Amino acid sequence: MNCDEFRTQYLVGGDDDTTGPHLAACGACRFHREDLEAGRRALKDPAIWEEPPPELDKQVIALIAGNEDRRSAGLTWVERWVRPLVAAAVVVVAVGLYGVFRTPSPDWEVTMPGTSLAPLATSTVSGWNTDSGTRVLIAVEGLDRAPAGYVYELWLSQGPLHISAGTFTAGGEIELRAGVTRADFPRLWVTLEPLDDDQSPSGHTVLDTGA
Amino acid sequence: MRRFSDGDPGAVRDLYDRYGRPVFTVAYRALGDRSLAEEAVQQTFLQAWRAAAKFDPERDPAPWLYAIARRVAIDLYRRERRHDSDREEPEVAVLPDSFEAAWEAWEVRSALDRVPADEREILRATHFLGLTHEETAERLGLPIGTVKSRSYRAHRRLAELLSHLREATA
Repeated sequence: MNCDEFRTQYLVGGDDDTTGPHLAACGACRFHREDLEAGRRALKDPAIWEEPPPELDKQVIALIAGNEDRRSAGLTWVERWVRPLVAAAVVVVAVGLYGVFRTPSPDWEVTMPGTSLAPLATSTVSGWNTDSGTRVLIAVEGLDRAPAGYVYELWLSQGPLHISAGTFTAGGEIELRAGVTRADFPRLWVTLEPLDDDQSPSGHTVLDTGA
Repeated sequence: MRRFSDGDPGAVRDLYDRYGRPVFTVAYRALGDRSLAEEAVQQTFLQAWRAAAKFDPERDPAPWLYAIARRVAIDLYRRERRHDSDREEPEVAVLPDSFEAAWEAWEVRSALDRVPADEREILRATHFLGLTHEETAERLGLPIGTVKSRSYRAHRRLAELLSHLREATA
Protein backbone atom coordinates (compact mmCIF):
# COMPACT_ATOMS: atom_id res chain seq x y z
CA MET A 1 0.00 0.00 0.00
CA ASN A 2 1.14 3.56 -0.62
CA CYS A 3 0.63 6.57 1.71
CA ASP A 4 -2.73 7.51 0.19
CA GLU A 5 -4.00 4.00 0.74
CA PHE A 6 -2.77 3.91 4.33
CA ARG A 7 -4.47 7.24 5.05
CA THR A 8 -7.67 6.04 3.41
CA GLN A 9 -7.54 2.88 5.45
CA TYR A 10 -7.01 4.89 8.63
CA LEU A 11 -9.99 7.11 7.86
CA VAL A 12 -12.15 4.05 7.26
CA GLY A 13 -11.35 3.09 10.82
CA GLY A 14 -8.72 0.48 10.17
CA ASP A 15 -6.04 1.02 12.79
CA ASP A 16 -4.63 -2.43 12.19
CA ASP A 17 -1.17 -3.96 12.48
CA THR A 18 0.13 -2.28 9.31
CA THR A 19 -1.80 1.02 9.10
CA GLY A 20 -1.05 2.26 12.62
CA PRO A 21 2.71 1.56 12.44
CA HIS A 22 2.95 3.15 8.97
CA LEU A 23 1.23 6.34 10.09
CA ALA A 24 3.52 6.49 13.12
CA ALA A 25 6.71 5.89 11.12
CA CYS A 26 6.08 7.79 7.88
CA GLY A 27 6.86 11.50 8.26
CA ALA A 28 4.29 12.69 5.70
CA CYS A 29 1.53 10.50 7.14
CA ARG A 30 2.40 11.40 10.71
CA PHE A 31 1.86 15.04 9.77
CA HIS A 32 -1.68 14.27 8.59
CA ARG A 33 -2.60 11.80 11.30
CA GLU A 34 -4.21 14.49 13.50
CA ASP A 35 -6.24 15.70 10.51
CA LEU A 36 -7.51 12.18 9.93
CA GLU A 37 -8.29 11.69 13.61
CA ALA A 38 -10.20 14.98 13.67
CA GLY A 39 -12.05 13.83 10.55
CA ARG A 40 -12.93 10.50 12.14
CA ARG A 41 -14.22 12.26 15.25
CA ALA A 42 -16.27 14.76 13.28
CA LEU A 43 -17.82 12.11 11.04
CA LYS A 44 -19.46 10.56 14.10
CA ASP A 45 -20.97 13.91 15.14
CA PRO A 46 -24.72 13.95 14.28
CA ALA A 47 -24.54 17.72 13.60
CA ILE A 48 -22.25 17.05 10.62
CA TRP A 49 -25.01 15.05 8.95
CA GLU A 50 -27.90 17.37 9.77
CA GLU A 51 -29.23 19.00 6.59
CA PRO A 52 -30.66 22.53 6.55
CA PRO A 53 -34.26 22.75 5.33
CA PRO A 54 -34.47 23.07 1.53
CA GLU A 55 -36.33 26.39 1.70
CA LEU A 56 -33.63 28.07 3.80
CA ASP A 57 -31.76 29.32 0.73
CA LYS A 58 -34.87 31.21 -0.42
CA GLN A 59 -35.33 32.67 3.06
CA VAL A 60 -31.73 33.91 3.09
CA ILE A 61 -32.06 35.46 -0.36
CA ALA A 62 -35.42 37.05 0.55
CA LEU A 63 -33.98 38.45 3.77
CA ILE A 64 -31.07 40.04 1.93
CA ALA A 65 -33.30 41.27 -0.89
CA GLY A 66 -35.66 42.76 1.71
CA ASN A 67 -32.81 44.69 3.26
CA GLU A 68 -31.69 45.86 -0.16
CA ASP A 69 -35.24 46.99 -0.85
CA ARG A 70 -35.32 48.96 2.36
CA ARG A 71 -32.31 50.85 1.13
CA SER A 72 -33.42 51.59 -2.39
CA ALA A 73 -37.12 50.95 -2.92
CA GLY A 74 -40.05 53.23 -2.41
CA LEU A 75 -38.31 56.42 -3.52
CA THR A 76 -40.68 59.15 -4.60
CA TRP A 77 -39.68 61.71 -7.25
CA VAL A 78 -38.99 64.14 -4.43
CA GLU A 79 -36.65 61.65 -2.81
CA ARG A 80 -35.13 60.65 -6.13
CA TRP A 81 -34.38 64.16 -7.43
CA VAL A 82 -34.90 66.83 -4.80
CA ARG A 83 -33.21 65.01 -1.95
CA PRO A 84 -29.88 64.55 -3.80
CA LEU A 85 -29.94 68.24 -4.78
CA VAL A 86 -30.69 69.23 -1.22
CA ALA A 87 -28.01 66.84 -0.02
CA ALA A 88 -25.53 68.36 -2.45
CA ALA A 89 -26.48 71.84 -1.26
CA VAL A 90 -26.09 70.72 2.34
CA VAL A 91 -22.65 69.36 1.54
CA VAL A 92 -21.62 72.65 -0.03
CA VAL A 93 -22.93 74.58 2.95
CA ALA A 94 -21.39 72.10 5.37
CA VAL A 95 -18.01 72.35 3.67
CA GLY A 96 -18.27 76.11 3.79
CA LEU A 97 -19.21 76.13 7.45
CA TYR A 98 -16.51 73.62 8.22
CA GLY A 99 -14.03 75.89 6.53
CA VAL A 100 -15.22 78.78 8.67
CA PHE A 101 -15.70 77.10 12.03
CA ARG A 102 -13.73 73.83 11.71
CA THR A 103 -16.21 72.21 14.13
CA PRO A 104 -19.08 70.65 12.16
CA SER A 105 -22.24 69.87 14.10
CA PRO A 106 -22.90 66.20 14.69
CA ASP A 107 -25.34 64.40 12.39
CA TRP A 108 -27.06 63.04 15.46
CA GLU A 109 -26.84 63.21 19.20
CA VAL A 110 -28.41 60.95 21.82
CA THR A 111 -28.38 60.51 25.59
CA MET A 112 -27.29 57.09 26.81
CA PRO A 113 -28.29 56.59 30.47
CA GLY A 114 -26.67 54.22 32.96
CA THR A 115 -28.21 50.82 33.62
CA SER A 116 -28.76 49.12 36.97
CA LEU A 117 -25.08 48.11 36.87
CA ALA A 118 -24.03 51.80 36.71
CA PRO A 119 -26.99 53.84 37.98
CA LEU A 120 -24.91 57.00 38.55
CA ALA A 121 -23.46 57.00 35.05
CA THR A 122 -24.77 59.02 32.12
CA SER A 123 -23.44 59.88 28.71
CA THR A 124 -24.10 61.86 25.58
CA VAL A 125 -23.13 60.39 22.24
CA SER A 126 -22.60 62.54 19.14
CA GLY A 127 -22.15 61.02 15.70
CA TRP A 128 -20.86 62.17 12.33
CA ASN A 129 -21.59 60.10 9.25
CA THR A 130 -18.43 59.38 7.26
CA ASP A 131 -17.59 57.53 4.04
CA SER A 132 -16.64 54.46 6.06
CA GLY A 133 -19.40 54.57 8.68
CA THR A 134 -19.63 56.80 11.72
CA ARG A 135 -17.29 58.88 13.86
CA VAL A 136 -18.58 58.85 17.43
CA LEU A 137 -17.78 61.18 20.31
CA ILE A 138 -18.96 59.81 23.63
CA ALA A 139 -18.95 62.01 26.74
CA VAL A 140 -19.29 59.85 29.86
CA GLU A 141 -19.84 61.01 33.44
CA GLY A 142 -20.19 59.04 36.67
CA LEU A 143 -18.70 55.81 35.35
CA ASP A 144 -15.96 54.17 37.42
CA ARG A 145 -12.67 53.33 35.73
CA ALA A 146 -12.81 49.78 34.29
CA PRO A 147 -11.24 47.18 36.62
CA ALA A 148 -7.86 45.70 35.65
CA GLY A 149 -8.28 43.21 32.82
CA TYR A 150 -11.50 44.83 31.61
CA VAL A 151 -12.46 47.59 29.16
CA TYR A 152 -15.67 49.33 28.24
CA GLU A 153 -16.89 48.71 24.69
CA LEU A 154 -19.39 50.76 22.69
CA TRP A 155 -21.74 48.80 20.42
CA LEU A 156 -24.12 49.79 17.64
CA SER A 157 -26.87 47.23 17.21
CA GLN A 158 -29.70 46.26 14.95
CA GLY A 159 -31.62 43.39 16.55
CA PRO A 160 -29.13 40.58 17.18
CA LEU A 161 -26.39 42.19 15.06
CA HIS A 162 -23.80 44.02 17.13
CA ILE A 163 -20.97 46.12 15.72
CA SER A 164 -18.21 47.36 17.99
CA ALA A 165 -17.17 51.02 17.76
CA GLY A 166 -14.16 50.51 20.01
CA THR A 167 -13.13 50.38 23.65
CA PHE A 168 -12.19 52.75 26.45
CA THR A 169 -11.24 52.39 30.10
CA ALA A 170 -12.59 55.50 31.86
CA GLY A 171 -15.15 58.30 31.56
CA GLY A 172 -14.51 61.63 29.87
CA GLU A 173 -14.67 62.40 26.16
CA ILE A 174 -13.69 59.52 23.91
CA GLU A 175 -13.63 59.44 20.11
CA LEU A 176 -14.49 56.10 18.49
CA ARG A 177 -15.37 54.86 15.01
CA ALA A 178 -17.81 52.27 13.69
CA GLY A 179 -18.04 50.80 10.20
CA VAL A 180 -21.83 51.22 10.12
CA THR A 181 -24.32 54.08 10.42
CA ARG A 182 -26.78 54.73 13.21
CA ALA A 183 -29.58 54.76 10.65
CA ASP A 184 -28.91 51.02 10.13
CA PHE A 185 -27.82 50.25 13.72
CA PRO A 186 -29.95 52.50 15.95
CA ARG A 187 -29.25 51.07 19.40
CA LEU A 188 -26.14 52.29 21.24
CA TRP A 189 -24.89 50.57 24.37
CA VAL A 190 -21.75 50.09 26.39
CA THR A 191 -20.67 46.83 28.00
CA LEU A 192 -17.89 45.93 30.40
CA GLU A 193 -15.72 43.41 28.56
CA PRO A 194 -13.00 41.09 29.86
CA LEU A 195 -9.79 41.29 27.81
CA ASP A 196 -10.13 37.95 26.03
CA ASP A 197 -10.59 36.61 22.50
CA ASP A 198 -14.37 36.69 22.65
CA GLN A 199 -15.52 39.26 20.09
CA SER A 200 -19.17 39.36 21.18
CA PRO A 201 -20.82 41.55 23.85
CA SER A 202 -20.46 40.17 27.37
CA GLY A 203 -23.93 41.09 28.61
CA HIS A 204 -22.55 43.35 31.38
CA THR A 205 -24.33 46.44 30.05
CA VAL A 206 -23.54 49.73 31.83
CA LEU A 207 -25.00 52.35 29.45
CA ASP A 208 -27.83 51.84 26.99
CA THR A 209 -30.07 53.92 24.74
CA GLY A 210 -32.49 50.99 24.57
CA ALA A 211 -33.77 49.33 21.41
CA MET B 1 -17.49 38.30 -3.53
CA ARG B 2 -17.65 41.53 -5.53
CA ARG B 3 -21.02 40.45 -6.93
CA PHE B 4 -22.12 39.44 -3.44
CA SER B 5 -21.32 42.84 -1.97
CA ASP B 6 -23.26 44.44 -4.80
CA GLY B 7 -26.34 42.51 -3.64
CA ASP B 8 -26.53 40.39 -6.79
CA PRO B 9 -29.15 37.69 -5.98
CA GLY B 10 -27.21 35.18 -8.09
CA ALA B 11 -24.07 35.77 -6.05
CA VAL B 12 -26.02 35.40 -2.80
CA ARG B 13 -27.26 32.05 -4.01
CA ASP B 14 -23.76 30.99 -5.09
CA LEU B 15 -22.33 31.86 -1.70
CA TYR B 16 -25.17 30.06 0.06
CA ASP B 17 -24.75 26.98 -2.14
CA ARG B 18 -21.06 26.84 -1.27
CA TYR B 19 -21.19 27.72 2.43
CA GLY B 20 -24.81 27.37 3.59
CA ARG B 21 -24.34 23.83 4.90
CA PRO B 22 -21.12 24.48 6.84
CA VAL B 23 -22.74 27.57 8.40
CA PHE B 24 -25.76 25.47 9.36
CA THR B 25 -23.49 22.74 10.76
CA VAL B 26 -21.59 25.16 12.99
CA ALA B 27 -24.81 26.80 14.20
CA TYR B 28 -26.68 23.54 14.78
CA ARG B 29 -23.70 21.98 16.52
CA ALA B 30 -23.33 25.01 18.82
CA LEU B 31 -27.00 25.65 19.53
CA GLY B 32 -28.46 22.14 19.27
CA ASP B 33 -31.72 23.44 17.87
CA ARG B 34 -32.81 23.44 14.23
CA SER B 35 -34.91 26.60 14.32
CA LEU B 36 -32.16 28.56 16.08
CA ALA B 37 -29.64 27.20 13.61
CA GLU B 38 -31.84 28.37 10.73
CA GLU B 39 -32.05 31.83 12.29
CA ALA B 40 -28.28 31.81 12.70
CA VAL B 41 -27.79 30.97 9.01
CA GLN B 42 -30.04 33.85 7.97
CA GLN B 43 -28.32 36.31 10.28
CA THR B 44 -24.86 35.11 9.21
CA PHE B 45 -25.51 35.75 5.53
CA LEU B 46 -27.25 39.06 6.23
CA GLN B 47 -24.35 40.23 8.37
CA ALA B 48 -21.86 39.02 5.74
CA TRP B 49 -23.77 40.88 3.05
CA ARG B 50 -23.75 44.08 5.08
CA ALA B 51 -20.01 43.78 5.69
CA ALA B 52 -19.06 42.44 2.25
CA ALA B 53 -17.92 45.80 0.91
CA LYS B 54 -15.09 45.74 3.45
CA PHE B 55 -14.04 42.18 2.64
CA ASP B 56 -11.07 41.67 0.31
CA PRO B 57 -12.52 39.58 -2.55
CA GLU B 58 -9.09 38.04 -3.18
CA ARG B 59 -9.19 36.28 0.19
CA ASP B 60 -10.84 32.96 1.02
CA PRO B 61 -14.31 33.82 2.39
CA ALA B 62 -14.55 30.60 4.46
CA PRO B 63 -12.72 31.78 7.64
CA TRP B 64 -14.53 35.12 7.44
CA LEU B 65 -17.96 33.52 7.13
CA TYR B 66 -17.08 31.01 9.84
CA ALA B 67 -16.14 33.83 12.23
CA ILE B 68 -19.43 35.60 11.55
CA ALA B 69 -21.41 32.36 11.97
CA ARG B 70 -19.73 31.59 15.29
CA ARG B 71 -20.31 35.10 16.59
CA VAL B 72 -23.98 35.00 15.55
CA ALA B 73 -24.37 31.61 17.26
CA ILE B 74 -22.84 33.03 20.45
CA ASP B 75 -25.24 35.99 20.35
CA LEU B 76 -28.23 33.67 19.87
CA TYR B 77 -27.02 31.37 22.61
CA ARG B 78 -26.77 34.28 25.04
CA ARG B 79 -30.13 35.67 23.95
CA GLU B 80 -31.77 32.31 24.62
CA ARG B 81 -30.04 32.03 27.99
CA ARG B 82 -31.36 35.46 28.94
CA HIS B 83 -34.86 34.39 27.91
CA ASP B 84 -34.55 31.19 29.92
CA SER B 85 -33.50 33.02 33.05
CA ASP B 86 -35.34 35.59 35.14
CA ARG B 87 -32.17 36.49 36.98
CA GLU B 88 -31.10 40.12 36.86
CA GLU B 89 -27.47 39.30 37.57
CA PRO B 90 -24.98 39.75 34.73
CA GLU B 91 -24.36 36.59 32.79
CA VAL B 92 -21.03 34.83 32.87
CA ALA B 93 -19.24 34.74 29.52
CA VAL B 94 -18.76 30.98 29.47
CA LEU B 95 -19.71 29.01 26.39
CA PRO B 96 -20.66 25.33 26.36
CA ASP B 97 -18.42 22.63 24.87
CA SER B 98 -20.54 22.60 21.71
CA PHE B 99 -18.70 25.76 20.61
CA GLU B 100 -15.34 23.93 20.74
CA ALA B 101 -13.75 22.49 17.60
CA ALA B 102 -16.40 24.19 15.48
CA TRP B 103 -13.86 24.93 12.74
CA GLU B 104 -13.12 21.20 12.41
CA ALA B 105 -16.84 20.60 11.97
CA TRP B 106 -16.96 23.35 9.35
CA GLU B 107 -14.03 21.83 7.45
CA VAL B 108 -15.36 18.28 7.56
CA ARG B 109 -18.82 19.39 6.46
CA SER B 110 -17.25 21.41 3.62
CA ALA B 111 -15.26 18.35 2.59
CA LEU B 112 -18.36 16.15 2.66
CA ASP B 113 -20.16 18.61 0.40
CA ARG B 114 -17.43 18.07 -2.19
CA VAL B 115 -17.87 14.30 -2.15
CA PRO B 116 -20.38 12.98 -4.74
CA ALA B 117 -23.81 12.27 -3.27
CA ASP B 118 -23.68 8.50 -3.83
CA GLU B 119 -20.34 8.26 -2.03
CA ARG B 120 -21.53 10.58 0.76
CA GLU B 121 -24.42 8.22 1.35
CA ILE B 122 -21.96 5.42 2.01
CA LEU B 123 -19.93 7.62 4.38
CA ARG B 124 -23.09 8.48 6.30
CA ALA B 125 -24.07 4.83 6.59
CA THR B 126 -20.60 3.87 7.80
CA HIS B 127 -19.77 6.66 10.25
CA PHE B 128 -23.11 8.07 11.38
CA LEU B 129 -25.30 4.97 11.29
CA GLY B 130 -22.42 2.61 12.09
CA LEU B 131 -23.44 0.07 9.47
CA THR B 132 -21.18 -2.61 8.01
CA HIS B 133 -20.71 -2.89 4.24
CA GLU B 134 -23.21 -5.75 4.18
CA GLU B 135 -25.81 -3.77 6.12
CA THR B 136 -25.22 -0.72 3.94
CA ALA B 137 -25.67 -2.81 0.80
CA GLU B 138 -28.93 -4.17 2.11
CA ARG B 139 -30.19 -0.79 3.26
CA LEU B 140 -29.36 0.96 -0.02
CA GLY B 141 -30.24 -1.98 -2.25
CA LEU B 142 -26.78 -2.08 -3.81
CA PRO B 143 -24.42 -4.97 -4.59
CA ILE B 144 -21.83 -5.42 -1.86
CA GLY B 145 -19.03 -4.86 -4.40
CA THR B 146 -20.48 -1.45 -5.31
CA VAL B 147 -20.65 -0.45 -1.66
CA LYS B 148 -17.03 -1.48 -1.10
CA SER B 149 -15.70 0.35 -4.15
CA ARG B 150 -17.74 3.50 -3.39
CA SER B 151 -16.62 3.36 0.21
CA TYR B 152 -12.98 3.19 -0.81
CA ARG B 153 -13.34 6.05 -3.31
CA ALA B 154 -15.24 8.16 -0.76
CA HIS B 155 -12.70 7.66 2.00
CA ARG B 156 -9.78 8.26 -0.32
CA ARG B 157 -11.35 11.49 -1.55
CA LEU B 158 -12.16 12.56 1.99
CA ALA B 159 -8.64 11.76 3.23
CA GLU B 160 -7.27 14.04 0.51
CA LEU B 161 -9.72 16.83 1.34
CA LEU B 162 -8.95 16.63 5.04
CA SER B 163 -5.20 16.56 4.59
CA HIS B 164 -4.96 20.31 5.16
CA LEU B 165 -7.35 20.48 8.09
CA ARG B 166 -4.65 21.17 10.67
CA GLU B 167 -3.03 23.84 8.49
CA ALA B 168 -6.41 25.51 8.07
CA THR B 169 -7.10 25.30 11.79
CA ALA B 170 -3.72 26.74 12.76
